[in-house]
Amino acid sequence: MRAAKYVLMMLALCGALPSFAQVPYERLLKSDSEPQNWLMYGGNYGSQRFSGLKEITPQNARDLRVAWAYQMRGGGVMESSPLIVDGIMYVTEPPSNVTAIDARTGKPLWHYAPQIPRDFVPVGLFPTNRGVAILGDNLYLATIDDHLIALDAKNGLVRWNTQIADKADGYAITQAPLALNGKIVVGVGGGEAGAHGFLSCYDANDGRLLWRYYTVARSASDPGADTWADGSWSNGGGTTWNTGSYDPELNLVYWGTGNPVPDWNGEGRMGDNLFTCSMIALDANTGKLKWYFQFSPHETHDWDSSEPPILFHATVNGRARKLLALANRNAFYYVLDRETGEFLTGVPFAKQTWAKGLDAKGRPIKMPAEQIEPSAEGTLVYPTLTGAINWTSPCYSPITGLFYVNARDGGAYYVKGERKFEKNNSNGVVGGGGGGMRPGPADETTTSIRALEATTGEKKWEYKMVGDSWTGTLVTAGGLVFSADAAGNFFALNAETGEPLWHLLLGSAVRSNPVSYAVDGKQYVVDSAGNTLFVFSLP
Amino acid sequence: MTASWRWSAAILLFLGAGAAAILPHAAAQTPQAPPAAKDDPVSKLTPEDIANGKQIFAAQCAGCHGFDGSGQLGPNLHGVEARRGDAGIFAVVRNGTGAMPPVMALNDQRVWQVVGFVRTLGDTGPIEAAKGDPAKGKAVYDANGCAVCHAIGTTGGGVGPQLTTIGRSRPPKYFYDFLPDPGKNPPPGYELVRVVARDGHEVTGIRVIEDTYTIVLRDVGGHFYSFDKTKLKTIEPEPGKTVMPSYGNLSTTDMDNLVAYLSSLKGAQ
Amino acid sequence: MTANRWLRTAAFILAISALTAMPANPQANPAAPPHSPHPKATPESIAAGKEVFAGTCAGCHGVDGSGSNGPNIRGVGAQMGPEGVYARIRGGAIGSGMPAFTALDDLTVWKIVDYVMTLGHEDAGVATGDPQKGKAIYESSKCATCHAIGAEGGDLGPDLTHIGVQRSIVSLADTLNDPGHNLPLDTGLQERSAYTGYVVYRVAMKNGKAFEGMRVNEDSFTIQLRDAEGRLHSIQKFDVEKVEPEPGKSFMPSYKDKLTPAQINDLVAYLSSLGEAQ
Repeated sequence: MRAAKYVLMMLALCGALPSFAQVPYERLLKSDSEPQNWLMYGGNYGSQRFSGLKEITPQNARDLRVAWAYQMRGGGVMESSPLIVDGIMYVTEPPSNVTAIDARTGKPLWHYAPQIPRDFVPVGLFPTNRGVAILGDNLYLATIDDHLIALDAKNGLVRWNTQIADKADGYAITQAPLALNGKIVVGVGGGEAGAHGFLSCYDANDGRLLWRYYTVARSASDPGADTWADGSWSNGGGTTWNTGSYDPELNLVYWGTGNPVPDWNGEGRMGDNLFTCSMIALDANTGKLKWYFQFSPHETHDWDSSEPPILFHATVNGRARKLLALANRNAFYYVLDRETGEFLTGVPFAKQTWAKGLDAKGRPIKMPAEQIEPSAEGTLVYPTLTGAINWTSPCYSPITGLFYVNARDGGAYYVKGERKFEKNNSNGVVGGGGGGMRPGPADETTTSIRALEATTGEKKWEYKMVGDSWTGTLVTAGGLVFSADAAGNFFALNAETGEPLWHLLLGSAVRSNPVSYAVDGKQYVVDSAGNTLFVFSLP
Repeated sequence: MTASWRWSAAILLFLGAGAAAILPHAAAQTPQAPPAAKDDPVSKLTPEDIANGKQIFAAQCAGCHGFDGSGQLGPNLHGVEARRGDAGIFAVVRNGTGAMPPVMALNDQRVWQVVGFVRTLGDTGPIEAAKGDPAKGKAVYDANGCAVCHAIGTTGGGVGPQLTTIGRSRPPKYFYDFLPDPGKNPPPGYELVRVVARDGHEVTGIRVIEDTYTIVLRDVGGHFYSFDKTKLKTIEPEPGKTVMPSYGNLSTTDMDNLVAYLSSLKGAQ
Repeated sequence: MTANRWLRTAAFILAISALTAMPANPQANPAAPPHSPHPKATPESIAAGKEVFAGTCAGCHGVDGSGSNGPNIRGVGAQMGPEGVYARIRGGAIGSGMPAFTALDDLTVWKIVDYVMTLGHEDAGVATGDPQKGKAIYESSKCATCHAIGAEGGDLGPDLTHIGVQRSIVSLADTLNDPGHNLPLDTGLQERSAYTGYVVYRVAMKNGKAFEGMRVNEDSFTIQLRDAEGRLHSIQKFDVEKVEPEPGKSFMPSYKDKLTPAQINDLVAYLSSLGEAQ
């Protein structure tokens, strides 16, 4: 009785039902119909990073100015792709913290910081976080020390906390999870340390593990084991460290997998090393592998295939098809049929010297080993170890039919080291290794925004930048592409022609993906530089 | 849970745990051992020392522990000398502990002055143990719908402060004072504010954050209301009020039991 | 008053730590916490440090420290000294991606330091010339017009205070004979770790003006050059007709014909005596 009386009093006080905006699965499914919000890491399930907003155009882009800025409390670099839901922005900060911000004014509303053990040093990646997922009333956060945490989106209260993996095995997670219908899918990072990669699916309500798919065999009888000589499947690799995509009609999740271990010395692991450096398509209910496509068999340059796959529809050879496009770290742009994994097209999108081309099935025709394999003195190969593209996202516009990628041209001297490695311990003293790289000729590495015709990979235009940029791309219905150069100039290009229209020097490298949203009908564009989040709008 | 608690906890966690770069002493230094017991500096403290200690405490400790040391963001320090010993208090001030960063720029003499003052905190009388039955108190908690607004662990609401470790930071006396009249002394971050917009509509809510140009309130539904002050006619704090109702007419038994239950909430050990 | 209270507390704590922190280098990164003293470097400690480096550091700094994801650290040993390198490993670098390696034990960190100290310090060989004569040649050639040693000299060219530790005999002689041949990498700003410093550019403006200068910094929209008189030109690429690097060129004259081989020898001997890692 008391409880009822109290609830009535509450209602009288606020005069409204508790009505914080929920995000049921239906909203995620139809995210394109609410362009004012950014409901998941990639914008929509196809990871297209396309904003339907039109207020900012090539005609008025020159008037963009900073609406507000938010500075992280701690040091480090913000790599987060924010979510914006009904006027609230959810951003993550290193190592694994979440802040809710009023998206109209930039005022912080609440902050959540999980306790991360101080002695944890992940190998081969920065301790950072790239974003959360939202479903129902909860945000879902994957932490650097391998936990999946459900937070009440209203206030950051922990609803459940489950451990995905043991950091002592070398796992570390930086990605934003992907929310499906009542389920959360999340991968793991840490391949440098010899951990076996896997993709997991958890119940969104209570954190129960629903399924897990391992990308590399853990016994001689597992699929793919026969592509690792001498039982070297036990080395591990194939980590799933970047957020993937989802086709709700086919009910398939698409995820890229990382390099085999050890990185630069393939002697002890002859064979194609499935399912590393591949795209895997898993049934979202069972986690069973529907199909796979391997981009880089027996890979020895640390070219993970963990780039976000972009899903789109187009007509190919007179037939309407469901497609998957991926700009790979190995410098090739691939188009696959996403129902079957059939290879349709593959062409270089950046300078590469390791393959003569791809055969009819999309398998690389590698150049002679002495020209491309790591050696004790160092072999100059293009692209660099960091790849023709790394973790930041490309985007796709259904209006222009173009795929926009921040492409890196540059080479590195690949050095082969000792094959022996030890599983990572939490002291981070030894890692996967097997060698490494020395940079190629100085000043030569450059990055350019390239617009590729999405079904063929043919370059339509390019915007060359100075320096080595690590920024993703965003394209809008208003006709603009946003990205940034290495110095931190955040700029807008005409999406049809590549003409630069506006820029602002933010003062630090932009290591993140831009997004766009609207509040009360006003469009904002967001990107972070260093430890500051900048939000732009028209006056 | 309170926005301020989260903010302050996050700040301190960052300073203490995430920002080893900013406070290298906190990260890698071997904790300094306090001077040997036989030196017994505490016994040599004079009333002036204690007064100094009180001033230092007010400047550097009260922000988290309250001016009377009964806890706020940081725990209740009454009786802490019995739990940690003088040397233990010295060590905590020097090296920090958990979410507490070390207190910098105090020489040994000053730290001992603080220790001396902290020892006096219990002098208002021993903290009486709660006299009720915690198990019965839980039933009172459940029957009165407290979980609608308060969270213990992962269950409950976020309108009011989290109660997961409230037993560590508040003595029973606090609850006896607070429950009948929450508006008299609400914790920071729960000030009720009423705004009237120029177009006439009104919102009353808990103030989340305010600056020269904007103010954000939240209601009991968890909705945020964000205003540009140029669009507001009036902004009025409502002192003496909170959204928490009074529990002044609980029976004495129920009140004792509820207080015992709240005092037993010390979080996972 | 919650915002004010945590702000006060946090600001207080930060203010106090700012007062007591001792920056080990100009970027105000953390000083080294109390630690065990540096054991003398040995071939074993350097080899052990190299192994740890390969596993833990090379991923960002490159197999030989010349940079990858993270900056080129060759030669930082000479600039920062072993204590400075220790502090950076232990404390990280604020605002960058470099974490603080708090979990490594002291001995391991010192081994990494020993290895890092060797990076950029190419095997110098033994100089055969006379450093005293070399010093006199340095003065009579007026090298101090463009170069600084310690607090004396100009800043148009690289600082030579530690050059003996940073460059081998062979490369010093090479530079004196052909300065444009092997320009040094510019490690001044982290974002420029891949830049060659002192590259001479020729810029033709749309308004017809043209001039030459050494590139100080460049991004997609602007370029800053320093001309031979030391003046800074800050240029918007929008106003530019053409920006051209001039490879092989340097503002530093060649001393091949100005000095005899014996004099070059002596000058090299003097230069290679400059700078000892502390």
